[in-house]
This record gives sequence, C-alpha cells and structure tokens, in this order.
Amino acid sequence: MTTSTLRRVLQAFEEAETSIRLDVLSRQLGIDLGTLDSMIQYWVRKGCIREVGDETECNTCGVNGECPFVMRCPRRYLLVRRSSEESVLVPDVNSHEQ
Amino acid sequence: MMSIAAPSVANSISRATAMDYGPEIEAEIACVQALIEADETLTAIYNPRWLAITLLEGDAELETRVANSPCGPAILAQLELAADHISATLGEDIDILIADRRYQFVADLVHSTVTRPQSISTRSDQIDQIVTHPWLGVPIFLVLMWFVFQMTANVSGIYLNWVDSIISGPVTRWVVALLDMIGLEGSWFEFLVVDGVIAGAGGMLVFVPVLAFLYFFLALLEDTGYMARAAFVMDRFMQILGLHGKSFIPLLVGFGCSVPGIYATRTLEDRRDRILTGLLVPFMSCSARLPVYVVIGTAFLGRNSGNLVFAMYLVGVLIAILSGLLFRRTIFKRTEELPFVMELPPFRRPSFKTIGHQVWERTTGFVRSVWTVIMFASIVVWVLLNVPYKNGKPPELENSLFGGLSRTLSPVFAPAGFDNWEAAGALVTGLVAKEVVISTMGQVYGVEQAEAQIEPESTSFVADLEEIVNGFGTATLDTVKATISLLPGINLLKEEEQTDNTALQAELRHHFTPLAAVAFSVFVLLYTPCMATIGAIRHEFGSRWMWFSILYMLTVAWIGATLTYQIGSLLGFS
Repeated sequence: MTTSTLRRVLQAFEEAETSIRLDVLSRQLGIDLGTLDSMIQYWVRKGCIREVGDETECNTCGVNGECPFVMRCPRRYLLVRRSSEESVLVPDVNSHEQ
Repeated sequence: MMSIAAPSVANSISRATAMDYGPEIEAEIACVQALIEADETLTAIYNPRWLAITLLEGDAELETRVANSPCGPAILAQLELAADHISATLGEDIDILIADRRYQFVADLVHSTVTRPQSISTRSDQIDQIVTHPWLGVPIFLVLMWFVFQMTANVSGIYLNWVDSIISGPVTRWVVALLDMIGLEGSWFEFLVVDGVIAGAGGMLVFVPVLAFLYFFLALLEDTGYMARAAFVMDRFMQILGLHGKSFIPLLVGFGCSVPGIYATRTLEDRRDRILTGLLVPFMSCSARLPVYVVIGTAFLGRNSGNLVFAMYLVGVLIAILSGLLFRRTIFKRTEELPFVMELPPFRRPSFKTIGHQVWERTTGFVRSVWTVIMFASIVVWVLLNVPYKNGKPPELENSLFGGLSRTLSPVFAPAGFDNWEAAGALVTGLVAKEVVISTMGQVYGVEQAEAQIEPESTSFVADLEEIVNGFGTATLDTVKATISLLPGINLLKEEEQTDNTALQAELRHHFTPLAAVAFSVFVLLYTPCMATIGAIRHEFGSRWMWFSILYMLTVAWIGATLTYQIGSLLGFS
C-alpha cells in the first residue's frame, strides 16, 4: 500500500510543528506550487482544511466594510480539528455569557 | 476545445492522454459502468464511464438521481462493494485515489509538455530566505519598525510644528476676526470656538502629518508584501513562546485600530482563543495613541522621540505576550496548537497609487474622527471647564467642575509621578477616544495661551498666506535634513530646530518631569481602551469579558506606570 499524494498533503498539515510557507511545503513535498494549491483546495472542499481570509470588517465607523486599518493578509490554510469540525467562524451571540 | 479540433487530431490526443486510474480502480469502474449501461434511462442522459467515476467519487446529488432509476439499487450496492474493496486492497478511500490519480495525470502531462528553467529561485524567493529566516526574521522586523517610528516621530514632527503654527496663528486670527466682524467679540461663543473647538479639536489636526507618515510607511510595507512576512515571522515567534501564533494577525490589525483587531479574532476557530486574543488586542498601540507619544517624546526627548514611540509599541507587544502567557496558564488552559500554511505573495514594487489611496483613506478617517468624536468631547470638556459660572465669570480652571472631578482622581496617580489634576482629567476623557487625551490637554494647558491670542494681531491675509507657504518650505527643508540626520554620526539640524516645540509641549514641560511623562505614556498605552473598542469586546465576547478587560487593563496600566516611575527614580532618572 502506498500513501497517495493527496494524503501526503493532508499529513503534512497534521504533522507540521510550526507554520509553513506554501512554497516551502511545495518544495518539501516535491509538488508543483499550482498543483499543491489545487490539492489543498480539494481538502478544503472535503472540510478537512479551512481557508482563512480577511474576516475582519467590523462596519463600526461607516466605511462600507472597506476598513482602512485592516491589513490584507494573504490566504492561510488551517487543519480542521477533528473534535470540532463544526468550528464556529462567527461567534454565537447567544453564548456571550459562557 | 476537443469538439472544435479535427477528428483525427482529437482522436490522437485522446489516445495519447487517455486517463487510466490503475487496474484496481479501472476494474471497479468497469463493474459500475456495466450496470449503468444496462439502464437506458441513465445512458440517455449520461456518459456511462463519467457517471461511474463520479458516483465512485461520492457525488451525493447524482446518487439520489441514480437511486430512482430502474437499476439504481443494484448500482448503489455495487458502489458500496467497490468502496470497501478498494479501501481493503489499497488502504485508501476510492474518491481520494481517483482525485489523486487525476492530479498525478495532470502533473505528468505538465511535466512532459512544459520546460521549466533549471533554477526557479526568483529574487522574491531570495529575499524571503532572509526576511522569514527563523533567527533573522524577528530582528529584521524590529529594525524596520524602528525605522518607521523614527521617520514618524522625528521627521514628521517638523510638519507637526508647521501645522501647529498655522492653527494657533493664522487660523485662530481669521476665526477671531470673523467672529468680531459679526459682533461676537468677547462673547462666550468666541471663547467656545477658540478655547474649545480650536484648542481641542483643532489641536488634534496638528497630528495629521504624523499619522500620514505612519500610514505611508505601513502602506509601503504592506504593498511590497512585507507585512505578510511579518505576520508569518511573528506567528512562529509567538509559537515559540507558547502562545497561539494565529493570534498575531488580529494583533497586527490592532496596531491600526483596536476595533477591527477585535473583530479579526473571528478568524480563530476556538472561542477560548478568540477571547484570549481579544483581551490582548487593546495592548497593541493603536494609531490613536501615537499623538500622545509624539507630543511627549518631542517635548522631553527631542531627537530621541522616535525611540520613545518605538519603545511604547514594544512595551505593548511585551505586555500582550506576558498577559497571554499568564492567561494560558490560568483561565485559558492551552488548547491544541494548529500551525497554518500561508501563501505569501511575491515581493513586488510598491504602487504609489495604492499607497496614496491607503494614506488618504486612513488620514481622512482620522480627520473625520476629529470633527465628530473629538469635537464633541472638546465642547463637553470646555463646558465642564467653564462651570459653575459665578458673578458672570467662569471659574478658575482648577475650581471648575472638570478641575474638581479631576482633582478627586489625581492622587491615585501620585505613585506614578503625575498627580496633577490636568493629567488625571485628560486620562478620563481619553476613555471616549485616545486622541481626546491630547485635545483635552490642549484645552486645559493651552487655554491661557489661546486667551492671549484672542486679540487678533494686525497682519494681513496675504502676509498670513506668505507665512504659511514659507513655513511649509522651511518644514520641507528641515524634513530632508532630519531624514539625513537619522544616519549615525550625522546631524544637520540646528539646536533650535530640534527643540522647536508647540505651545502644548512647552506647557507639558512645566507640569511633568521627563520620567513622569514617560510613565504617563505607559499608562496611556496600557489603560482601558476607547469606547468603540469596549463596545466591540462586549459585542464579541459579552459583558463579563468586557468588564474583565476594563479592570485588567486599568490594573496593568497603573502597575506599569508606577513601576516605570519608581524604578526610573531608583535608577536616578528624574
């Protein structure tokens, strides 16, 4: 039995001890950057990896969601925890007093 | 694409690039395909092989459609058998294997048709090797930020004096002349405009050049792609300290404004991590606090004011890290850390159009806040400074309602070295917005000076314009000199240019010792954030955490300021 390349990508996320750049991961796995990107997207679609973008707009100062203070951080990918796959992105307003 | 190619060419390409999923999977595909081909309702719509592969990949929608066809039950049963068989023989889910073979097929195709240069290391890659280096990354980040704050505090300070001279000079004269012209000379309204609006809100406009410089350099770092590297480097650094690395991105946002920083915690999946990070974000020195450091730095430290600004930002980060470590070991026990993979954009030449847009957006945002929140606060402070009215005259500032309330509070700050009522009052108004600390100081310290200027000097409008233009030219020249003077061993500025302070800075030197001023800066950095941030904390984490944040930050600020003053005194500073 051999481990599929797709599985190796997921394993790289599971076994990573520190955050890593996508291009470094590409070199480590010996996978072309574009191919690796689409492989990660495959796991995103499967719900095993989460893509995080800019979810920071607060709309409190009336600039139509274009907050001038938000730094546009590039895409990040995180492994979804097995125990909390229904991870909450937007806080539950009813759970404030927890 | 294939449909428009000549048939012979299309066939040859099709043969050359036939997709083969390997003997085991192909056998399962064939079994399912055979069952599909036996069902005319399916073959009338779908290509049997495509349908077989898609069903083996687990397409739920197609499964529902197939289930209703005559051969549906048999096909679904076969799919289950195929999945079990492949899993048992190849040790992997069939859908993953199919996708994997497809990626492999594309990779082989690209490999056989695309010739890449031997070395794929670009200049951006080479820079990345250095700026994201495990050991060099953090020092490089610190050096860059030091440079940014030197430019912000030292170099832009020259324009600060120029704008101050315009507001306290020609602008005040024009307003007074205008009010005199319409018969409001010596009225309460004139005092409100001069002592309240111009000394308070107008005094804040002085900081437009300082903030524009800061926003320019931050936008420059962001647009070149460096800020993404900073987030990556600091993430690793925080993980080494045992903190959640992902928290650094909301913290980085907090350098601009704490409110979006609080909302940026939504990117963290665990609620406990979100609360922990939300409690740390206000320790990041937002741009609203910058005017306080710049005023104090230039008043007391001259050319070293940039170092004070840089030190304040570092202290904020340090306190956030220490608080994070404390919370991790007490109320927020460590959860499993999940590193992330970050796609770093290549370094690029900055677009000055984009940078200009960012600087404009951020600076106009500040100016908007001056004419809304800060002007309102300035008017409230002015009213409090002028009541109770006795015998038709306003009270002495110290005996005003504002002075009385502030005097009650001021002994609390005695251990930190700044127990004057003006400072205590400014800190209270700073709860509305941090910029208000300076606008209030402008009012309580600058009132006498403004009163002195309320009689318009006999200058002409043209002479005023000449003064403004000449002042700009001198400021620009001095800025160039100050920039060159940042190089070690070079000082092109004359002594008087280095100590050329605004009226407020001159007043501050009478009321604070340098050490007390630094302790005051520490308190401003660490104490309870502005109302908008408090509201954001309540909205995201609830009232309990909001009160916790308020009390915790007040305590940390008092301890921090007191330690700064007491330790400084022990070391012989004054």
